[in-house]
Amino acid sequence: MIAVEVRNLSFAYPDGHQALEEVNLTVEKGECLGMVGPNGAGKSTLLLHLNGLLSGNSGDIRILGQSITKQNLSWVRQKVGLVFQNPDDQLFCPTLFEDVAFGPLNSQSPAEEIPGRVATALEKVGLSGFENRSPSHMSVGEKRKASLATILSMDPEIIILDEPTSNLDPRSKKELITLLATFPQTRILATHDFEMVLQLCDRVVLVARGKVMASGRPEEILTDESILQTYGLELPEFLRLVPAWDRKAFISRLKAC
Amino acid sequence: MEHSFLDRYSHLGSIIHNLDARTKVLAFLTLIVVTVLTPPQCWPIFLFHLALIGVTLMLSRIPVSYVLTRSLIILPFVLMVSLFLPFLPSNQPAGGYSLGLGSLTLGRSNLLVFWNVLIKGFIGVLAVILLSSTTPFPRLLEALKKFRVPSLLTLLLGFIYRYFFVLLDEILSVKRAVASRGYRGRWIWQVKILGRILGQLFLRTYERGERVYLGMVARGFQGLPRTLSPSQMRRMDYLFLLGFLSATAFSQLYFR
Repeated sequence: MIAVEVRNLSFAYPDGHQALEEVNLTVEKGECLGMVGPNGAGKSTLLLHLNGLLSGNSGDIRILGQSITKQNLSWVRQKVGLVFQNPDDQLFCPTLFEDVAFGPLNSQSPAEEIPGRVATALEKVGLSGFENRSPSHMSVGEKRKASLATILSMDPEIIILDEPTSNLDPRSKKELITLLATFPQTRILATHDFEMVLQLCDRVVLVARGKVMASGRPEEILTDESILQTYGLELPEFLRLVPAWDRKAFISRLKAC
Repeated sequence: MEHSFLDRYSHLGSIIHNLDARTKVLAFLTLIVVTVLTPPQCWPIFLFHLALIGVTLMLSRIPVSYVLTRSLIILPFVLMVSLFLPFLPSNQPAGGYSLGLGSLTLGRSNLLVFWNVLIKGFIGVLAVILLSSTTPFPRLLEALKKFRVPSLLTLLLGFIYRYFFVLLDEILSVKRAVASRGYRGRWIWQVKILGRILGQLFLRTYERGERVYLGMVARGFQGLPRTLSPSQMRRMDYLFLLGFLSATAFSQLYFR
């Protein structure tokens, strides 16, 4: 079954900047998709479309087989959870409880269900007991997990994360990757973190100049220096240090970590 | 992150802390209103009110020194008033109470005006400090919502509480970034930089507002916030309210 299907999507910002041009993308249900590309390639713009926050000038987006229309926006937003890059944008309530309860409250879940949903979501990310904490007094790692909880409470089938590992210290990053690996949902990660993509993703797409330029297994795309160079990316140092003939084996060792 | 909490001590677990926020808002608001309406000559009432606050303070186990230090915040206002005192016509009724006698500069009525501002400001500020340090801000917002304060207003207050520290951190980091490049903000012509910093902060706040709004819409926000309110008025709340309000009423009847 197909979770997300994007067909010929084009989008230009009001200032005329063509951010997306004829994008085609299909994501299978349960798949973990990495999305890499240089700054300004259109990754974030594409992600905003998948949740109905932007709607393209032309093209079609289907979520779980249904086109996004004005009528089903709230359904789309419940099914597609979008985690923003900066947790301070995602967590805006005085307490974490209210933040995690915000989504379910908007989707008109019965009031008596909500404390349970919040508790489950917080437990999933390992933040049980943080209900009454104010997000402004939490660490970046905690905030990131908390942001994840704010969409888990809506029980989404597709989870989209924009730069999930930015600003995280190595341990928080490792914890986050381990956490994401356990999720059964369809996941889309837009990131510059090749290490995470190699460890976590089944497939990777390379976005550049508003288009999907390449798609394939992470160990193939992310080790192909000519593709990376062409579209403004670089082979990461930790892969450069491994001889080309050993890279595949190296990556499978990395995955096992 | 070098800022203290706005509502420090509000997470202690005393009897007063465990009261419903509505109880405390109602009690302290009544106290403030009654204090303001009390004529300044009725000093026993003020003493009684201070004692009432004192008892509540003891019950709440908040350090007295903390409350007193914070209450210094009224000083600028009192000083402001005292600056104008010598210019008040001393033989005329001031502030609605008629007083016969008066001398040249600091007459009796002027002193009374001063006393009026001082004691009422002091009691009011003590009540507010007591309220804010026994009630976490989110609970306070909840109480306001229950009192039918428009949800747009409480949402706005919530944002202020949430982003106050974020903005403070941003100001701090900009200040450091500027200082690390040798800016000392000493001369008047350097004020231009200050303007740019303020502009920059405004833009950042504005853009953050947009992103936060996107974050809300992404989770299905449609214009009006729905909230849960788990808090409940219990027997202790009614007892406290009854005691507090009847004590206030008693002081009015007995000392006036």
